[in-house]
Amino acid sequence: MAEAAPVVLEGVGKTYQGADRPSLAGVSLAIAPGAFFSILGPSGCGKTTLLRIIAGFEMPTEGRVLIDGRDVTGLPPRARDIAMVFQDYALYPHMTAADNITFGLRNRRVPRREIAVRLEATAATLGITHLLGKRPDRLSGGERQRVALGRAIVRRPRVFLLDEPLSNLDLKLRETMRIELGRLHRELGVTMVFVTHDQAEAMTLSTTLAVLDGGRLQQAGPPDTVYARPANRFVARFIGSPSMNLLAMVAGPDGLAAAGAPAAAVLAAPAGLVPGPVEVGIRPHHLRPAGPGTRGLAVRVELVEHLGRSNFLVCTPVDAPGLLAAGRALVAEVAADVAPEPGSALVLDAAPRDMALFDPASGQAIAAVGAAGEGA
Amino acid sequence: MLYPVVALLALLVAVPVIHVVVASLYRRNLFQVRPPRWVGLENYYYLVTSAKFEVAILRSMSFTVTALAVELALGIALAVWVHRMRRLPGMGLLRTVLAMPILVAPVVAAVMWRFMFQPDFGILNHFITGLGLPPVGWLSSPSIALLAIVLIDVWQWTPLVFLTVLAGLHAIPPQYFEAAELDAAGPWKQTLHVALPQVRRVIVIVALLRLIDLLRAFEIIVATTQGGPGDASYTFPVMIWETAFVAFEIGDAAAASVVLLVLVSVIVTLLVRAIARQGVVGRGQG
Amino acid sequence: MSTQTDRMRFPGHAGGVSRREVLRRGAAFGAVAAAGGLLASPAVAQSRRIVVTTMPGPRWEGALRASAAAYMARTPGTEVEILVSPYAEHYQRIGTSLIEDSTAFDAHLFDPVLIGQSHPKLEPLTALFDSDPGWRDYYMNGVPYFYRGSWDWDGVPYSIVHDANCMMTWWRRDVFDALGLAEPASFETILANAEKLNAAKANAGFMTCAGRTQWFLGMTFTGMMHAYGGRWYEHDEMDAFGRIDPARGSGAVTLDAPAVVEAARMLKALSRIWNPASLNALEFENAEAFKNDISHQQVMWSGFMTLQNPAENPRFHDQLVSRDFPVGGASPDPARTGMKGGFGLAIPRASVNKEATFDFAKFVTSRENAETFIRAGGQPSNAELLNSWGEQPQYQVFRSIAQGVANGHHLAQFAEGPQLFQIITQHIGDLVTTDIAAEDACAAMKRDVETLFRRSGYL
Repeated sequence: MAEAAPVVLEGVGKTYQGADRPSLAGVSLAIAPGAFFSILGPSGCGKTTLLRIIAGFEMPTEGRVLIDGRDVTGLPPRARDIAMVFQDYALYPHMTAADNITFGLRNRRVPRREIAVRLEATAATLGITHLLGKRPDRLSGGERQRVALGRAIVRRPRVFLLDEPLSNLDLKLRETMRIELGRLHRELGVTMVFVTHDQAEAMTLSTTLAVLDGGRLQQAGPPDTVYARPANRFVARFIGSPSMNLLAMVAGPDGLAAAGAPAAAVLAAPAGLVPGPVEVGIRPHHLRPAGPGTRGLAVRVELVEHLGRSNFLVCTPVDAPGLLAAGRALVAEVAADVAPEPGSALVLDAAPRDMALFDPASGQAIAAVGAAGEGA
Repeated sequence: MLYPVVALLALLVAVPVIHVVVASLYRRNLFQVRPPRWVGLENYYYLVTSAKFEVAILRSMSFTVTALAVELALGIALAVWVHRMRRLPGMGLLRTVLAMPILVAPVVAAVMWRFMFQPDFGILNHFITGLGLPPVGWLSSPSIALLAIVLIDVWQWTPLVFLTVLAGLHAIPPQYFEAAELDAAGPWKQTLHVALPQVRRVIVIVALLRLIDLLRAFEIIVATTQGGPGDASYTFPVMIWETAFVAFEIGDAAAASVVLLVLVSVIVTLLVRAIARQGVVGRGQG
Repeated sequence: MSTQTDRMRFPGHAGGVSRREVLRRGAAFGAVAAAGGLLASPAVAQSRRIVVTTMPGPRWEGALRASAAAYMARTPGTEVEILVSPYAEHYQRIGTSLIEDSTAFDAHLFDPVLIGQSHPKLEPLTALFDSDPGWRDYYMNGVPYFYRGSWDWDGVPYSIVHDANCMMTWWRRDVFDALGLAEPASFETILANAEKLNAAKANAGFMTCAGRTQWFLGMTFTGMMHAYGGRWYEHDEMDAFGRIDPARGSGAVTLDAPAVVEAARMLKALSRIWNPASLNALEFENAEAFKNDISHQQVMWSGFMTLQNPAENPRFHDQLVSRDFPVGGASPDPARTGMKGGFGLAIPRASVNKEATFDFAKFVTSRENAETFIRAGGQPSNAELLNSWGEQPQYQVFRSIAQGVANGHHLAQFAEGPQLFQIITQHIGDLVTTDIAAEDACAAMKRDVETLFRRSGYL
């Protein structure tokens, strides 16, 4: 296989003609060689545009794209040594699977014997040898997916782009293919850039995860860092399900108190936190029930969702109207055997090390916290 | 509610056909006040044994095949080109302009071209002689007349092929072209291996429509050469027209119409079957 | 069958009056008629209304409308309605109205080829003719027997023939004078002239309406064939008026006779040097060729009369001369000239206004109405009118018509006549567009006509 190449984006921006705001703005990224780099974001965040800019189907209106250190911004897709798997596969309907896979090799005048060898290897890797003679309309969704992957793999590109490749598959098949993709990435060792709106895919597959929103890069880093230390309020809410609880609090000498409430501090504050208003992010599974009378967030259990392995407690704070944004509830994930009656009172506690802290005004993470991981 | 509708439709199709078939069994002149005479299949016998029958079949075939080939080739080429250039400004306007000939009534188009073809003061020969070339007898030269009529038909109906194929091309998801781009397929290979296979069904349907239309075409021929010079453009439908409205022989014309109906039906049925066997019509694709 | 050829004529070129002019005049006549009706109505208890069908164009619609207006001004109490249909619909209207014995029409513009089939439905005019001996003698003496006879059946007239037309030769006097060319009085002269004219100016020598366009080619050839002394079939005689007596049959088809082959050779020779546009020219294009100094010698119908009108042909109207279609070669007989066509007014038996209609028809053909009729675009049938008006340069063509209709051959007036012309056109078309020999083309033509005649029981 060809050696993996790094991909670097420098201040990439894209404003479509006639659009009043950019689809992408100032995106700078360094994708390490051999990385499995996922681009995650809600619909319309610009993730597909970003992928298409890397592929060369779109020209950025500002910034540069470098692949293996070479500026490819002005190069056509075919000259970038990349391969791409499209969301709906885009297999040529009148060609057999074998012809689909080898079309690019034939166009590149690869010797016939080598084409045969590479086809065989690719088919074996993907387990589609028995499908090679069939046309796409005779293949199932998963089989088409593999053929589409085969078409990309057989080229031995240095960068491998995948545009929501699993979104057309049903749930079960998607899990199978997710594992398959991970295996392929390990075996091929190429740089993979993967666009998805499914965070489970992104979290499980990626070596690096980039979160995009409104055309701007929100955070890029290893999935666990992004998960544990979201760079801002958006990432905090977007990553994780149920999403991170964001609590409006005030840091004082005793710890954290709910904003707008006369009560005393209810949670211990991380060390070094500057006194004043702060937005505290706590993952549901980091909220632990404490015994009655102990210090903590006093809540009322509204609903218990049984997930088998654990329970979700959907709660509303007691005597702390300013704690949560309007319309939001506090969610705690607890062990399956913790199942309080709806309506019962509960006190929830969290350890300072499990807290993500945000500036309430800007929504950006407060970095000066002695916690593991790094911000964006 | 369905059956009465189907019956009505069948009736609407069948009644004129039956009428023509019955008329073909009589010897009848348009202006004969005396009653028509029953002659059985005699009209058919005289039709197929006449020298003009063979000529008409030959002319119809060469007219249809030539016009169909040119219209398809040109229409598809134009569609592919306009589709490739679709991002350029002004292509929408170009498409509208290219589509305009369809809107002209065939007879009007034919008369317009007849003026342009006029050998002594027509605009085409004006340019040709301006280039120092000898004038061309567009409609008066036996070897050129049919081609000149093909030219009119091509002018008028290539836009139909163009528009239909273009619509088909626009319906192809752009990823196919992007995939081909990554597969290092140049414009020619993208056209051949991506664009055309995906619009194959559209092409087949528009080709069938044109084929049927060409086999029946007579307005532009009647309005330009009426089958001449000599019998250079004497196609089957022109023969029918001449028999019915110049010679006023309604029985003979009806017999010829029945023969044309059968010929067109047979050709179209055979083609549709052959195509269906190829899997182009009927079955979906992935 | 001039009806067919005349269909190709654009109204603006047909009779010295533009279409707009016709419309304008029509409106004016309408106003006059309305005024006349208002004035007449108190005086006459019941106003009679007669309906006359016609085709459009100055020669038919124009001349009849003008005549009708003049007639109504002169004859209070009678309203003449001129009903115009497009060319093809005119024939359908005649056919269906006769079949249905419709009383909606009092006169049809009538083509002689329809007489054989339609005469049982038409009013025999002998008694009406005899009711006005003065007019009868004027008409019978003025309109040549060999012309008006086409509208007779078994000696009974079925139309008042008011319109005349024939094929003729046209040429440019100034060009002929400059080159010292002889008057084209024979095909041999036409051919010799054509070669000299071509030498002086490419494609100027000879032009005709041919190709397959309607029956022009068949008409041109048939005229030549008769001029050379040929016949379609054994019983094709002048006083048979182009008809076949079913009892007697056609006799042998003679389309391979030496005179016919000779005519075919001559046409082939002409086709070698004619303006190539001849192979697909419409009459108006031939007219344009004259007007634009492209062609200097043509064979055409009398519709070219418009070209002698200064308004229609400002450059060469006074240089354009016509004569009846010339004889030549094997037959020097001056009586055997080209084809003739034309129209009469026929009164359906079902008409309830026969006397009034006849009175109007008499007026149309009268001396009194001649100026109105001719100025509106009509071509009269009366030799007296044709010859006297023919002295004016603008109506020189009338003298040629007088000559042509008196001598010219009749159209094929049997039911299969159109098919006869179709067959002739087809084989003569072969002759002039391929390398086939004249003998072979004529032999093939003969075979096809024999088949047609056998089918029809004439052989």
